[in-house]
Amino acid sequence: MIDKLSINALPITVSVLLHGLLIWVVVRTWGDMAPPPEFKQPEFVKATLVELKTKAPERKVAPAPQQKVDLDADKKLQAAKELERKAQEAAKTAEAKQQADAAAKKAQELKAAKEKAALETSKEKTQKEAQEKLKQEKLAADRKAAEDARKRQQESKEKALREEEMMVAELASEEAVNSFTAIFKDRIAQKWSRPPSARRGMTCELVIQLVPTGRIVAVNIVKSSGNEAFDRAAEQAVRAVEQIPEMRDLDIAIFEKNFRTIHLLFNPEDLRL
Amino acid sequence: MIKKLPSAVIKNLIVVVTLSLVALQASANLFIEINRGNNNPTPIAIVPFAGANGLLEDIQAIVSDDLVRSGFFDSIPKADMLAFPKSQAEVVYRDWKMLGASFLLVGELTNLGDKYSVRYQLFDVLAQKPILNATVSGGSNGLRDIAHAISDAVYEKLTGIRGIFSTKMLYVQDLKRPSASRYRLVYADVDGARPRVLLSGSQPILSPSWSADGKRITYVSFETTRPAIYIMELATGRKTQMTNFKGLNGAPSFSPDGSRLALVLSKDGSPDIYVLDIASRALTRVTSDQYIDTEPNWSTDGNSVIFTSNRGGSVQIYQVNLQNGRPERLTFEGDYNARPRVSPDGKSLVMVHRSNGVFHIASQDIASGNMRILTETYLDESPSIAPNGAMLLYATQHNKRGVLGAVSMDAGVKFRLPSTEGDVREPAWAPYF
Repeated sequence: MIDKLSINALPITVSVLLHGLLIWVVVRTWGDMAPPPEFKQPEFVKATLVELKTKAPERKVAPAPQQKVDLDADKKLQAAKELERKAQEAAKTAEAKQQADAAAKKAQELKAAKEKAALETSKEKTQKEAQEKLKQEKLAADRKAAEDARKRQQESKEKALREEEMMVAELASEEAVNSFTAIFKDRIAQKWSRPPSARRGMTCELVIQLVPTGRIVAVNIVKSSGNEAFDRAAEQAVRAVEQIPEMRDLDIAIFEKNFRTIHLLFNPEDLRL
Repeated sequence: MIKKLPSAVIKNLIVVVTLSLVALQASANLFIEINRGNNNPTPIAIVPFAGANGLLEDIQAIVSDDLVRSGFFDSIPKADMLAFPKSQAEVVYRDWKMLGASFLLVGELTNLGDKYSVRYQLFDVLAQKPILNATVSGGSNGLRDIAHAISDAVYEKLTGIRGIFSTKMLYVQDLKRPSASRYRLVYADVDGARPRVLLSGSQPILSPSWSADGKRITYVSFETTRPAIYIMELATGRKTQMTNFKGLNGAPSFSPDGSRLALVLSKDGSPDIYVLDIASRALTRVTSDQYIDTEPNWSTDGNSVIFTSNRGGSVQIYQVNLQNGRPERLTFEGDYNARPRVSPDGKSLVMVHRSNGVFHIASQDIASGNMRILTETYLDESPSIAPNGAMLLYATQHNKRGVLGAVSMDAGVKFRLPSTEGDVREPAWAPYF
């Protein structure tokens, strides 16, 4: 037993090493494959955006060859494995035949040859696998890009529509803001009687709350001028205006967006002193 | 379904929160600046005070006149009032708002036998809240004082400026016919009421003015046939002759601390400015030249005297520092600026300014030199600033008679005081007592 072992020591070591190498190669490439390195460079996706219309119909065809390729890859993998196994077996039988000769030199030569062969097969295999992987990834990326492009197109279409709607609303809103700002300025000016202690450079800030009927329901001084009489006159001017009746006809969304709460800065520029 | 519900709720919540954030942001952006206003008087309803019927003075009318004459108020006629509330419990804001009132004053008078007491309340009709609640009392002959005190309190509350309705004035009256009392020095309420003759005579009285504490007055009288400067103590009526120099003795003016008089004497040739120490009678000459230097008035710090001089070829206003005696010219606009008076805050001058041959009252910001013409009438003279710095009195001509006018320092309000017999001139607005 011990004799046999010692006689077989070299071929067994060679075989174990070979297997180990193979397992290492397989595990390594597998490990690399597990997280598919996605080609998610945005530049690439953007570049394909231009051709989105022509690419969109091809989408249906795309998955089929991919599956085939997958199958082929499996087959090839299996074939490679088979080959490997055969090679191993051949090596084993060769080893068995040569056991009788038990020539150390020959064994060494064989070992070298085998190692070379094994290395070559494994190299070939990794290359093949890498190519496969690249092919697959490229396909997947193309598919994904097409999908993304389609989505983007749809989104941008929708966005453009939305933006247009918003722009129209924005314009209407802006127009309303301009005209009501003028109305506010005018109505309040008509009611704003400044006390004799008012001077240019005095300012006070009010926040007013409105309801959609245009009625002013709350008036609050948020920044005093430091002059009670000046502040009160500003507050009274707003309270005297009471309501902006024109606001009733305003679109409720525009009202909510702009006129629910308004800041008023009282800054007299027409005083003599 | 159970799993979906919370996510839907969360989604809705997110939408609501986002929308409200957007709304908040948008509304925070709407910022309107009000740069213009009006100079319309503010409507105030002054309700006849309960318990004040049949008194010698109409308190409601006095308060109303005071406030209207200030230029800032418009009084709502009694006849338009729907009710005469006397306290907050009886006030219906809606009614007063319908009348157009921004403010409402109500009160109740109580007769305490030897004196009266008035409790009054001021309301902000638009904000619907009371803003002043006070009591004032006075002797049985002090109804006008009570009324003016209420006017002062209301005015100060609503304008931010101390009222001047309780203050006094001096003026010179000339009956324009020879008599033993043709010329009079009169002490009166600033609305012209309750005039009291302090001094009268057949010879002219000139240039009355006040000490800063309002207890003494100084003036020029010709009663000894040549002009002399006197000081009178108001409480006792005691007169003291301060000067009796040869030539001109004129235009006395109390220093801010009341210890000295600035005056004009021509005893050494042409009229020059002197300072007289009242206690020691020590005389200091301030200007000495061949030109006419006159109408001295003190700066608020008492360190310099502002006066009129023709030294520059035209009549202009100068300021001389009493320490170094160096004069500095203050006015440059036009060819005639005279009779300077410094405002209580020391920041501006009022003066008589001639433009296109017509004399106006003008004010000038001392720091910037900017001048503003305040009056448009003919032959305006002798401006005298109110102690609150908001108005001034001046002498003017109306129907070929000398009368007193008042104008606000921003020139927005002008009115004439009720005219009396003869000519009235040289008003001197009293300080706060």
